[in-house]
Amino acid sequence: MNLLLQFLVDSILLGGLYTLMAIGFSLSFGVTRIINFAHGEFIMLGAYGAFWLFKIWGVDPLIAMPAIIVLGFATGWLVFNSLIKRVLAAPNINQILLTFGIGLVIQHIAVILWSGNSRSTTPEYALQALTLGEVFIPYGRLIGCAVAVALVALLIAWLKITEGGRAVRAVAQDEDAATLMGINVKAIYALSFAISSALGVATGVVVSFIITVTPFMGFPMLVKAVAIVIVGGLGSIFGMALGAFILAFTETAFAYYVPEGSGWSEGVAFVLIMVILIIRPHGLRGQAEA
Amino acid sequence: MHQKHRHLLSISAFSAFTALLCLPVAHAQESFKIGVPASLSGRYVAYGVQAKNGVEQALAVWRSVRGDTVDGRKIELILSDTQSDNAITVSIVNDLVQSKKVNAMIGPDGSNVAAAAVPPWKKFAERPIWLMPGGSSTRIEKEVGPDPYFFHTYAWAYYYHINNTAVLKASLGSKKKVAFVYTDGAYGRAHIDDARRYVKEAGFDIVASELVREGASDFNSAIIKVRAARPDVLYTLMQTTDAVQFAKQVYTAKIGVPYLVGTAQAQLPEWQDAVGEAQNCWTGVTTWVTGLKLVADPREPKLFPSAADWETAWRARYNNKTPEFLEVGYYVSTILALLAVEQTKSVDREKIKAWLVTQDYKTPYASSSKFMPSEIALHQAFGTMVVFQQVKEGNKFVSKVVYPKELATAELQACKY
Repeated sequence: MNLLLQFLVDSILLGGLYTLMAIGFSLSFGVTRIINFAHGEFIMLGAYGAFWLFKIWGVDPLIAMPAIIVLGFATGWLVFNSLIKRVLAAPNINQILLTFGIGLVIQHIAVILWSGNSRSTTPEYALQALTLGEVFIPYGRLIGCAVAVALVALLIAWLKITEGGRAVRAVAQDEDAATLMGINVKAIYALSFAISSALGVATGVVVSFIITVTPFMGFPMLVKAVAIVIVGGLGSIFGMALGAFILAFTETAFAYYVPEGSGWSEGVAFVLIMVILIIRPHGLRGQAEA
Repeated sequence: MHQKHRHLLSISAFSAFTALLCLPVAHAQESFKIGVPASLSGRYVAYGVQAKNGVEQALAVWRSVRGDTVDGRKIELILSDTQSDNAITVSIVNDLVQSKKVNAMIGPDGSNVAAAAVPPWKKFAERPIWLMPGGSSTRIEKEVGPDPYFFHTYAWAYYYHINNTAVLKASLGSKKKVAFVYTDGAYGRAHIDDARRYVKEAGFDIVASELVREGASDFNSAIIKVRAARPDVLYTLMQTTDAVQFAKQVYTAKIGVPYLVGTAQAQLPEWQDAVGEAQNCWTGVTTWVTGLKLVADPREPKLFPSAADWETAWRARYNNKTPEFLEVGYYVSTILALLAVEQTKSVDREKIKAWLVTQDYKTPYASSSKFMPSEIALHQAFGTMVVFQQVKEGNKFVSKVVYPKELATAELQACKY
């Protein structure tokens, strides 16, 4: 019974972490239809931002988060307007190569500036847990899950309530119709990309005290984010969160209940994703909705 | 005809005389070339920088003690960047051996690139002497085989477990329960069989053996299963990146296992910095740690001073930076190569090989420089490692040596939760 409870707790917390990894990618992919292969590197930049602020000035990562989000937004805006904008009409392979290249450049700059050493932030809560009987809930992961819920809620609220959000949804649903309605599509693309980057660095801040920070941490997270977004359904924030939790529950179940299952739980989770895509090619939540 | 013969004779005599005059000059101009393939960029850049630091410190000390040459030869250091890439490492080794014709190769650092360097080095019949202070993977040992020109100056992976189990047995006795957690990557899989073997040989029971995915976002399932098995010892086999996250999760879970055993990661300042309080009580194995009570070599006290004096000199040169094990390893290996040329008055690999096999110096690097056969390789030095435990003293952590007995500064302590 205790093992089952711990399994449920761990699955939920991991689902929150996966939601964080995928949320920014989901937004930019859903709106611009560009697979941003540099998204993992934005997460990495956020993690390093949190790490250095913590290391040099002792700033708690959660306190540093708003400033890092603003910087992430500005960086995303700059990257879109200086680089991504130029390949919007280009074939998909050009877009993929460009974003992949941006990711590699960021990664190499990180190695040059900060070396390949493993790092981590260690605020007190990152090493503490809430204990309920034999079940324990690590505060760091709990905070990660809470931030994921908050960001998903904020994003959905922004998409539903604000004019800018509605414009983003309109562009995601039908770019031509949105143009006819007087929406500046390129500006919406830039806004979506900038918000996506801001969400990426916010994710980085949280993971800086949960997993290990290195210049190479981005790509594995990107792979998971792509899988989650495709399973959830293109452009669906709720579907994305659902995909994240399916992945988390499957992986954790194998890790807990199959001998040496941790080693291949990830593989099994991706088999499950393939099965879902065979049954529902558009993902669990279909096409572009918030 | 007679006159022609006399003319030829005088030319020959003049040529021979000139050649004789030039001989010492040619000898003086001949270099001793040391090739150092190092990961100066890319994923393993931290190791590469340590390799470079160690070699440069050795050359600086040599120049201050012996001068700019070795046996009248100019010392030529050829430092090449592997970019942490196996394919580039192959090209570099080809270049060092075939084009640059180095007399000795030191490095590369890290098991992956070191393994990549084996085939290109081995394919040359006239391959140079190879000293390897980085790379513990037994895959390298298997690929090199019993090669007479290969000198391993760091411990093979199984030495970690020989030393770890020795201290566990000495401190706890046998019949204790051990749980393993190992990654599915090259590191975990390379170590697990040897680790199990030596743990069993020491008389311990293995009560859990948990495989985890390299780079996983969560290790909690393995930690929960280990906790349920109630072992006396948690023995982990994973590289630094995973070991950072794992140590933090173990600390957070208050796992309740009295002894936490790691391998190479616990000695690294990057691991210690990254895990903070979670480093408490972990043990690790190394060939170097600050505070080793090792005395100077009586014959070469300036080249191989006591560990304390060596560290003082190092800190003076590198802005008070704490030396890391690779830096010490590259230092000792470079000095050995230079001494070999000086003692044999030659850069001939047969003479250098013969000298290296017989030499035996006290070094600042855990143990003497004497080479012995290992399981497969012919020449292995520094296999006796230091086991240490991270202990909090005041506001900082220190590495207390718990093995070998003659170097110990503390006894192995059970973790408190």
